[in-house]
Amino acid sequence: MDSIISYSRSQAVEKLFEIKLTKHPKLKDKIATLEDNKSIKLVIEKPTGAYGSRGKRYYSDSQLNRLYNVILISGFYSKPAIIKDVANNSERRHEHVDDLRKLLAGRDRVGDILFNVEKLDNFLTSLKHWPSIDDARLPNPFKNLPHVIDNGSKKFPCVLEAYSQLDIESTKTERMLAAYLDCNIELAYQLSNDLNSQDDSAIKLKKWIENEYHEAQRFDELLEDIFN
Amino acid sequence: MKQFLVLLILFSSFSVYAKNSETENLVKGCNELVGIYENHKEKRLVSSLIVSSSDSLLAGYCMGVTKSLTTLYSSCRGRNWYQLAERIANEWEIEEKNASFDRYLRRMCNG
Repeated sequence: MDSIISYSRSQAVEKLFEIKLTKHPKLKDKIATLEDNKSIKLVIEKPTGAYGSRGKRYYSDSQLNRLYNVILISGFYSKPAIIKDVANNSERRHEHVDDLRKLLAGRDRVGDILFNVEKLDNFLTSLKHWPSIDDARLPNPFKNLPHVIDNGSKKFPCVLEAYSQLDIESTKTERMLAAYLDCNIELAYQLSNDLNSQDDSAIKLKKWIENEYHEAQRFDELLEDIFN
Repeated sequence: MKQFLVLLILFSSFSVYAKNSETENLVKGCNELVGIYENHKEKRLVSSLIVSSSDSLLAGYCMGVTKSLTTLYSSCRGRNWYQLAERIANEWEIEEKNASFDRYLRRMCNG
């Protein structure tokens, strides 16, 4: 009988990225959140029965590809819900990747985050077209994982959040789009109010963000009514 | 009109044997509903950006089913829709989809 090789979270991350998770508590917390929201799959054994006991949690060999890919995806997006959307929904993944490609076109860095441009292109192409992220590992587009870059802030760094840092060279339109892609619609809306560009595509984007903001407000009000 | 559709789907689901897709839609819907609820609690103005129209419909279907369960079955009384939705999302085995839909809905309230 074949025995299943199992890895703890730390062992798995060290095997995949040669990173000691104990030195990067933010990455550890991020992975734990992504396990809980089911972006990352792992084996969870039933609790033994003792009061308050949790079942043993571990990764099998076949689950390492997804762990690797989701960590790379989380280098772009900050919100667990979007990461889950990208990881689990192939149709939505298409849209997310197209938007990301438009935003990053021609860039080899965003703030402290440096890309390997060729691998970034392969990463986006593969992410868009692969039917599942369980079967193989995506090319790593980062020279250093954003999660382990010490940017001096306590915030978890990712590409879309990096756009909002004021010292980053980017246009208002780029910042607005980055905020929208990171589902920070309030910031996107604020930036759209400050945008005075006469460029046709910027005007269309501004109008679209305003509509999305108002729709998001209506949807939230409806949820508030339904849930309370 | 949307509410009518959700109710129609809901009541047509209470036939003794459900089609596989009905069970799958309920599980998917409850997953979506739990996700929407959690996201809504966590951060405002995010939900509409993440949830598609079909996901919203599925979530509404789950909410209709779970709210009805709390009034239809005595074993479900006292539970709230969220507890039931979470249980269906987490514990319903897709392998059980060929079994009686009604029986498994009742089981959601036991234990």
